Amino acid sequence: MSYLEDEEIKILDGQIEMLSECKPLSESEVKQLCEKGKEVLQKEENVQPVKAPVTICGDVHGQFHDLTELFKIGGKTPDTNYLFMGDYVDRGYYSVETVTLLVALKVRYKDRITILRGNHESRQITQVYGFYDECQRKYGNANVWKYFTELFDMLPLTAIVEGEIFCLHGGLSPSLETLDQIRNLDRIQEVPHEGPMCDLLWSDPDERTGWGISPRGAGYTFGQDISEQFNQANSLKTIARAHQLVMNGYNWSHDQNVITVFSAPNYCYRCGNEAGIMEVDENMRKNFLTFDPAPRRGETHVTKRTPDYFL
Amino acid sequence: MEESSNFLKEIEEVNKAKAKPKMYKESSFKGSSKKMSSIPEQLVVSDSDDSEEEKDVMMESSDKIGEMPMPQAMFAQPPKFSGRVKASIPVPDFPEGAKPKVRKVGRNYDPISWEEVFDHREMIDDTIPIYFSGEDGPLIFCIHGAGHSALSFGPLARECKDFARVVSFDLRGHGGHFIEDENNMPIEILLQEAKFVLKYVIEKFEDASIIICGHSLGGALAAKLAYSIVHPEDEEEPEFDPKHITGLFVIDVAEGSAIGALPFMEQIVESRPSEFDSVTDAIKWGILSGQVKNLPSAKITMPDLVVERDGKYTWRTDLLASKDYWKEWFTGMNKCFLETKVPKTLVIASNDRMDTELTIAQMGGKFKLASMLDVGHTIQEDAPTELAAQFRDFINTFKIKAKFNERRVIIGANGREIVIDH
Repeated sequence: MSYLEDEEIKILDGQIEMLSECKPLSESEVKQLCEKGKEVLQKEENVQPVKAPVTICGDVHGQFHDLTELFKIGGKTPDTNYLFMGDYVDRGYYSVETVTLLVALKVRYKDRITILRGNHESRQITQVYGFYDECQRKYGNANVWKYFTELFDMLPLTAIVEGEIFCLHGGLSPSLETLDQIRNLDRIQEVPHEGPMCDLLWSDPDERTGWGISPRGAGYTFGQDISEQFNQANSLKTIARAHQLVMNGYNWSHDQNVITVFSAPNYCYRCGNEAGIMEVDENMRKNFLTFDPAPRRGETHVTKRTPDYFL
Repeated sequence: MEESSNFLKEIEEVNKAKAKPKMYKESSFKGSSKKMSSIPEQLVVSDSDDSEEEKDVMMESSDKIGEMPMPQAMFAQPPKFSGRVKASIPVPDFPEGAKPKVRKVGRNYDPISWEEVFDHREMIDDTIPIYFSGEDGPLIFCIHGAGHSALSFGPLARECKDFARVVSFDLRGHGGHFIEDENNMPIEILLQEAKFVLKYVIEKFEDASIIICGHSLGGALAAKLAYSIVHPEDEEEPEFDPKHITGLFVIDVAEGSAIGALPFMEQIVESRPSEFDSVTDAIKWGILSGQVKNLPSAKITMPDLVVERDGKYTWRTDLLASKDYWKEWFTGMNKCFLETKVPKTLVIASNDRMDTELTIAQMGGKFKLASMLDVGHTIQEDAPTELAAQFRDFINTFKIKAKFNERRVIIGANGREIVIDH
């Protein structure tokens, strides 16, 4: 921890305490935090090595109180090591507090928590699905959104746990057959509309074999044959990914070659799904924990516009 | 760097403009009924001597609105519009030859003919008007919503000309499609009708790759039509080659939210003026009421929605007469949309149009969702340019070819060719 001064640690601990109560930082504090965060993140690799034991988590989507629940269930940082596979913002009402807390934890305990990039960690997507508007609403301007989206460009794309579990937000790409090809990507940029970097953040496993064009309109679908081939070629046991809502919080597919983990319970406050996290112990044994949404107090509900003419 | 900061600035500018009304919307939601009732008041277009009386009526109805529980309270009444524009200042007498000339300036509301947007029109069985535009590319087969007409897709057709064909037809009782039993509109009959027209199109363009597109009721129909063709009941001898259908494009409708909105529709339909003095007045109402948010579009689409009766222009389609069928139009559309195994997009005018079923499916990566900014329900009329861009994107992303049986190939690692069949 020598890279932080004692004074910095004190400030960070104070900020983490505030954030844990769902209180956002000031604009200038966010600016400083993002500067520090960028320094830390840009040194990480496209395929960031991670040690076991670690708890692997999927989408959070601004559901702050459920993230608090997740830490209650999985253990606090730095007592538990975490690996988050992207999609911290959008959809939920507390994207600002959620992503600020995760970045603060990353800066404070950089070897204890890994945060990857999801397809929502992008300028374009956050303008449509809520994070941009939330920043505007909470800070009165878009500066905080700008600081965070600049930081998102630095987030690593994938991670590998003890050389066995390959972790990423979306899935495989027809342009990438080896981990070395991923290591060679220039990741410091906005998520492109197509190409290998886009695919890693957008693709989904599919029941059909081979490659297909993803129904999402970005990335591809890949069959079991592709997953098996990729795992074999790179001496991997499992691909762990998030990106898709799965009703039980986790879901095995492709004959145990792929595991999907989704950590936003009752997604969008209405989907009725459980959330899941995957604990990997020092012997690489996997253990799943699932949980329901945290009880909420006095939460503002988003207004439903009454329809206009609709026939 | 310079470029990206400019990009950011632009985004900021654009969004600054839209941030304000959003704040207002929220405060008006939380606020008292007073704030609510001020909305309809602002919208009143009073022009005649009985304006006082009209205002009273509006105030009364808005008071009622204030007492109602949510979400009815969010209703903004469409403006009353008499269609008459009277000068209220008395005109003094001028000596002969000295009378000042009065010339109306600014925007005009004159109609534009369908010929400006479509290339040609045919009549199927001398009954069903069908419009065509474009010469090349995939064929976008459009189905309009209730109370609209084929021309609803005219502005879009114009924008798509250089990369796709657009075909649009009038459903029974709409536009130029006159039949005896116009209000008999059960979903089965509408579906048969759409299938009949599609057959006509496929016979005309034998190897067409077809994207079925629909708005609102038309969207529900599009989903059901696509499902019935791609997954035919009689798999041995399907009516059409399912491979003709290469895409499904639904505009602003989801089963849950559509059915949830139905109880309010009667009031909305009834609050429209019952007649206009001229087509121009109808176009003007379309714009001032916010029904259409794009003047060039309204000039094309509104004229088809009214017909002349005894010197006045009344609504072409008696919407309330089909009331009994509204629910069945939408029931089951989500299943058809989600289970039709072709590339599909749902374009919505606001994020709250989504229902739970579609939210789960979207998050499972089952289809492409596009949320448009600053548009109303009739997206194809409000933002034809932006919607055309969505189509272009859809065709590129899913590699939809002009002919339905063309091979789709992607380039994999090390320049390897990979043929894609789904």
